[in-house]
Amino acid sequence: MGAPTWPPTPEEARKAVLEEYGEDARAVLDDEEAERLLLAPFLFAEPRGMLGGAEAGTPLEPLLRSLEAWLAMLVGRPVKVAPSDPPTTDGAVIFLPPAAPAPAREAEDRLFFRVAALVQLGLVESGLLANRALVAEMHTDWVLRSCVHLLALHHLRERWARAWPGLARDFQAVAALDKATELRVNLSPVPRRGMPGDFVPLYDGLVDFLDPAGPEGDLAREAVAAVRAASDPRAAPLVVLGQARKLRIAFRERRLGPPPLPRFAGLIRPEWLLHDLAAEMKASRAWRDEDPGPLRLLGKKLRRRLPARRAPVPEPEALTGEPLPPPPEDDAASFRYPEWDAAAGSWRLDAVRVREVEAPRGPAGAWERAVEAHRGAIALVRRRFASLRVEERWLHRQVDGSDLDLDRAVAAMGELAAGFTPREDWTMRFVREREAVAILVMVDLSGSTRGEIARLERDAVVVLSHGLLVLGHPHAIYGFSNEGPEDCRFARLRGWDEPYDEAARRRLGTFRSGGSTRLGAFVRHGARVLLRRPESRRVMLVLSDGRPHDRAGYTGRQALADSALAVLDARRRGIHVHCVSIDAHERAREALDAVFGPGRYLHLKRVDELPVKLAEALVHLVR
Amino acid sequence: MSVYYVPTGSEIEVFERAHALRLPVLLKGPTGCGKTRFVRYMAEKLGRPLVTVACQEDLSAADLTGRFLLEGGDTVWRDGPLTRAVREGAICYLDEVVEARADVLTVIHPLTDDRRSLPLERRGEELVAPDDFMVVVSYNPGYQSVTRELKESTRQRFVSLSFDYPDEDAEAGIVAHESGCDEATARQLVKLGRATRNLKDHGLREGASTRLLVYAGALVAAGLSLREAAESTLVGSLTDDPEMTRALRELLRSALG
Ligand SMILES: Nc1ncnc2c1ncn2[C@@H]1O[C@H](COP(=O)(O)OP(=O)(O)OP(=O)(O)O)[C@@H](O)[C@H]1O
Ligand SMILES: [Mg+2]
Repeated sequence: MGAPTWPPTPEEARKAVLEEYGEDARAVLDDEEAERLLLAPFLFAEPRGMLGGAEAGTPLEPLLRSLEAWLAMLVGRPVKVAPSDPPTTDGAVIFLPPAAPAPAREAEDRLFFRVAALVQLGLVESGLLANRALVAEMHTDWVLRSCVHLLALHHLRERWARAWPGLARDFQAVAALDKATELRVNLSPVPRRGMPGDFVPLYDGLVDFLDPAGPEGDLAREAVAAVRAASDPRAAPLVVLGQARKLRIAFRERRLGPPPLPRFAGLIRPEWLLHDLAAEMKASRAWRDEDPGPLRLLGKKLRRRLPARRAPVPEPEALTGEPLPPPPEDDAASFRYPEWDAAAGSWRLDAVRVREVEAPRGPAGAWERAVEAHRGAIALVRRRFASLRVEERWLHRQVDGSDLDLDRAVAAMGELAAGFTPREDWTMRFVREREAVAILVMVDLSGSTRGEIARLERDAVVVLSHGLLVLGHPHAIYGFSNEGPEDCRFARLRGWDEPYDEAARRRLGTFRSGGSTRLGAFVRHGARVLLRRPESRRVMLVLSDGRPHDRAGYTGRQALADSALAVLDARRRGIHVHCVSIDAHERAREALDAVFGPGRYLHLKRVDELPVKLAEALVHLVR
Repeated sequence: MSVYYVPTGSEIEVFERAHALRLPVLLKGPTGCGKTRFVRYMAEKLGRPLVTVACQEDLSAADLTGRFLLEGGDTVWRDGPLTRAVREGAICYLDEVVEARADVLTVIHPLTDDRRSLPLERRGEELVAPDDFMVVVSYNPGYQSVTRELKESTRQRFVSLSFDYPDEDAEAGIVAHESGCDEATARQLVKLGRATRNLKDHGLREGASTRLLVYAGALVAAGLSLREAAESTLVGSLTDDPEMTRALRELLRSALG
């Protein structure tokens, strides 16, 4: 299909519908509806894919964290932002394009992201999207959808500026920004010239450089004025809705189709917001006065094209309603653990077998090369850990220490002189003064790690070992990976009381990756290992480079749910579990949030930071 | 009364009851939310002297109870602050109590149960605390680290009072009063401060404390613009992380234009 023109001709539209739906679309067309024909070319336009590549503007990724923080401060609750084009929301997450529209201009692009996020967040906060009947109605009625969205923009502009006066300037600036205000119906751009006069006042203040409307714009002008005047946040959604309905009737009568939206406004995607599409569509029909016959048919067709709905992430707490099964019998070298099957809602008993093995020793020299390459980092880490170390502290007032405790000796002389018999505790000695912490470092050895990254992981472990040695807490370093549930290998890189001798160095300097990541099993096993330690403080530090994943039965949300439960269980037993991740996947943080909990992991975007950051994460934990 | 304190809940009443019943009190809350100020206020209200000890790692039991000193050939016993507080029937306030080593804290155990006594082994003496004597400790539970937690046997000896930042109006009043800035500035600062608290554990360890807002207000009262004052307190003093710095700057822009 060629690029749609404004307005599309009925013949074009008719052809498009027939091409798309074949003969059974005749039923729709027989009941011909001018509006739907107008809309058709836009509805069926292929998405042009998410923005990216050389022709895109500033990427979202580096701005994500500060953007989320800024939004959280504005609304007083955590806000999650993820990439998807065009901007939209599912009611929980704010989706923004992975890159701003080209050309890249940092300040403008940040403005674009800021305002696009404010719009989506505002739609959620205003409560408009919480009105299920309305959302369901918008699912089939594009004119209503566009009218609601445009009027909501006016309301949101006022609302944000009232709460945060500086934001008025952002909205003003974005209106003058061509690339942010490109007009679109659905995913297709439409030209500004030739815009029906009835629409024009809707863009007042949102998009600069539109010809002022003629007399035919009165209705839209009134609607905008009414929405802007509605300052009570509870009343505003109702005003928006009422005015949108009025506009919709008028626009339909005049056969205008839906008014286009400026790009920064994004898109409302009803299907992302409805939990039970069929039921809510049915409910929404109560709103409609006309015969739903042909619409229902089209709705059904459209629904078939919708992506399968995502299963909600299970809440670990909610899952633990099923009591944890007792541990199965183990033989000497292998251990069996249950696994949570989120799909079935029950525990799989004896689901996995974990074996403790010794990691293979590679050639000598790798450890030394890593030390050579990271001298700076090692020095830094040693300094950092030295201030925390447990040994080499003087314990004063000992009866059998190695050195004279001068302060105490003087005090004892005083006591003697005063006629008391002092205790003979005027010596001091070195001790572990702080309570020791058992530290288990677990390195993900699965196949997701290759080449350069694998090397940096090894280097990071080498640097960390130097820090751990200075620190003096008992520690062990294991790697983990598996092939299916029966072959989970917990590979010793450095055991608890092992010296860093040639053998250990060869394991640490050369470990290789392969296999998958059945994380839950390894966290359960790690917890068991830690619980056998005599120290009462226990830390598990997981170094990961990808989300948990194995064969069928341990993928996607199921893998996340089981891993999250394993972490939860370890924490309940008093183990401090923390993760450092270099997962480059765009939804990595979502997975990390689910498994380790927000704020309980460190997500590195730059892999070369790993050696220092891994060590820092540990400092944080044992301080 | 000369100490200025704006109550945020029933803390005054609970404290008075605890004092009357001779129960020790534990104050928890984020930094700069008025814990120390509250203790000073209560000491004055109850007419008791206040002895404050700032706890740190090197604090020893003798630092608390006292020791013999040689003074020109004579030996003299010097009471530590805890002993002094017991003798005077004062309120003894151990600030940031988790910083002290757990074994040192056990010296307050007999004072904080029904014995209410302080054995001074060195002097072969056992002080019995007068009714007015009271132990108050404070700590900030916000940052959990593995080695810094109160022992259960210490924690469970206290009646605890949880503190948080005052509500918006009260806090604006406090900031205006303490810093001498005008009401409108105080309100703006409180709004900004409260916004930053949403980032606790989501990028910031703590949001802006009331204390920090008082500083900002004082800078404005001394002639700085609101923006400059906010920049050097609400941005600079909260984080070094460049991304959070950017978010905080953007917040200032959103609020102040
Ligand atoms: N409720 C309040 N009434 C009066 N002033 C308050 C109140 N809360 C906070 N302040 C102001 O905040 C400042 C900081 O309070 P304070 O020193 O008591 O904090 P804190 O909780 O002891 O902090 P930290 O844990 O860092 O020691 C006080 O000097 C005072 O100006
Ligand atoms: Mg204090």
